[in-house]
Amino acid sequence: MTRVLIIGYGNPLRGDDGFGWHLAQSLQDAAQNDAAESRRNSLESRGHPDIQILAGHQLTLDLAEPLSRAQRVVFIDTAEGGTPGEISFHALQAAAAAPTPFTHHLTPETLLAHAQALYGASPSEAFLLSVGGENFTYSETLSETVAQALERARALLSGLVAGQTPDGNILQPRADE
Amino acid sequence: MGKTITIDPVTRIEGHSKITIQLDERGEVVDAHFHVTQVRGFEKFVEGRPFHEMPSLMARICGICPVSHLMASAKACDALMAVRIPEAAGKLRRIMNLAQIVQSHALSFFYLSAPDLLLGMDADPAKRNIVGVLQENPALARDGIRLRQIGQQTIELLGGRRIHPGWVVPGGVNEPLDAAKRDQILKSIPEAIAIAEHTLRWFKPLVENYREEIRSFANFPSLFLGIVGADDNLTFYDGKLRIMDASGKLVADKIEAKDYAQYIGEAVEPYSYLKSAYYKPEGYPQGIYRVGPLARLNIVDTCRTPRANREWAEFRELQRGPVLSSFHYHYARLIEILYALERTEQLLTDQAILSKHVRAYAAPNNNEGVGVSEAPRGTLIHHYKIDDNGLIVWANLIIATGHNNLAMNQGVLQTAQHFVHGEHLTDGALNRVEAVIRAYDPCLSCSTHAFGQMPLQVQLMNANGELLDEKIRD
Repeated sequence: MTRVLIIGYGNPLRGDDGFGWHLAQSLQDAAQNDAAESRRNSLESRGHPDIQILAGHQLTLDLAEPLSRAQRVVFIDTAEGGTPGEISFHALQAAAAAPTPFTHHLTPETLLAHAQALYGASPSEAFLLSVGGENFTYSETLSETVAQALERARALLSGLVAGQTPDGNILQPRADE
Repeated sequence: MGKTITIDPVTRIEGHSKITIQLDERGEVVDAHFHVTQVRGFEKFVEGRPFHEMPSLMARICGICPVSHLMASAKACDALMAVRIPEAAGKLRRIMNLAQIVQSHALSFFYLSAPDLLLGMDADPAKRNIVGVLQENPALARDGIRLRQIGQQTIELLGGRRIHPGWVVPGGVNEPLDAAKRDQILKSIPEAIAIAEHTLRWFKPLVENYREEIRSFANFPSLFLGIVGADDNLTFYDGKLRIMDASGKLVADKIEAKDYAQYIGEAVEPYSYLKSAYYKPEGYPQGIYRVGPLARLNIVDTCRTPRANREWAEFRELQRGPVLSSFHYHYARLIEILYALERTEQLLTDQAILSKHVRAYAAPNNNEGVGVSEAPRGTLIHHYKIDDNGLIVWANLIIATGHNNLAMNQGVLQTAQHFVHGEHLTDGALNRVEAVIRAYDPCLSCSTHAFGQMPLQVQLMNANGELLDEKIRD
């Protein structure tokens, strides 16, 4: 059974910056809720992987430990400067842990490297799913354009969890290690 | 004419500040100041709000120690209502408060100060940060992450989230503890105690490497202030104020929270947004005192819990009488982590902890209320006045870091006089001037959690504006 970790992060008080946080929160709520309508929000997983979903404001060092236990990780955030509402997806590689002045500026790549350095393991498959943001001012809601991307992002995530990337590549199921 | 060295910003602390060092004609330090460069305004913008909102509002002052503000604020509201909260509620509030001590002290020791303590004050700045700690001693980094996580998870279990939790309300807490959560917290305690104990075993011999810093890091006679429990023991949630002098003599004791203003005054200086608290009978600025881990371990007669008590007894052997060097805040912090974990275990194994009676209800019955508790950084005072409709008309907060402001300024001066000379700056000297501030673990706001190094440029100019020396970190 593949152990999958989903980390949605961003500031929910800064409009579209909170996209990753909102998405992860909705997935967490759906996982805890048995209501029929919430199944539309849940992740469909043909392979029944073990899924952990974390929502946070930023990437912090304490995420290194759950990362070290996962075999596949998907980070979800918002990109500035791209086409609002457009979802981009790419694979990640751990970066060398360079000195950094800000703990709030840990990148997914650096965090992957910290997981390896601290716990001797990091996911063999790592992905970043980003949505282009439109509004980053003080707001507790997503812009309409970005909110409409939630459903598409959810569908992409379901595919990743089940072992298929958005471009159609099949991810091999991982045996328990 | 002399020269001024500016360190802006101060790194690896919570909040925004800068340090200025004034040199005389001979290049010797004649004065130094710690400037807090941010203003918060909470005392003003809460005016007009219903008093029962205050704990939730005040928790937003800080992202590291919101629980401390929840406690002091809730206690002030209890006083406004004139209620005695149920016994279980008091115990539950204590557990959350103790979890705050664990996670905040872990942040200070492992994240903010460990780069100096592990790698040395003169270590390559490129490595003297959390990444350097990860590389040099990953076990230490893991321990710090885990200890902080345990504290935060306890807060989350009780209050719904790690930062700005709810649950603590005027009159008590809004939900009893269930057995499942109790057991989950209890399960984490042995691991956390083990981490605290072996960190102490690692740290104590290390202190030998810092003799010079111990002598010069705000090592001076001062008063010490804090609250002590019923048996004059270490406590964080409730007790009476005690003030001790540098010889160990009690100058004031068993002061009720509501009477704090008879002993503590506040002064404003033009160079900082942080008010300076002082001991009124001795006046300003002579009435300098310190709060926080060092002060607490100086003023108590016992730590009450067995492991912490043994460590505390050893700590008190550092000096005849109160321990005076602010470098030893780091040591005191570790002992307090141990106490907090042991005390949490004691409280959770009390049968009454699962009681359903956790809240007292009342309308406002007093127009004035004071709540005092011990935050990680020291004594925290919330003082409110309300009108007959229960709306806040006035609020005064004395934050732990405000109590320490005079001492931090004196510490900066003392450290600068010892390590800064002439017209050339060394990175190690500047780091030590910052490090004395870090020893106090000040909480200036929640604006930034930078640690490691921030881009920093320090220029030393002569009276003609000519550059004498420059240090740049990028």
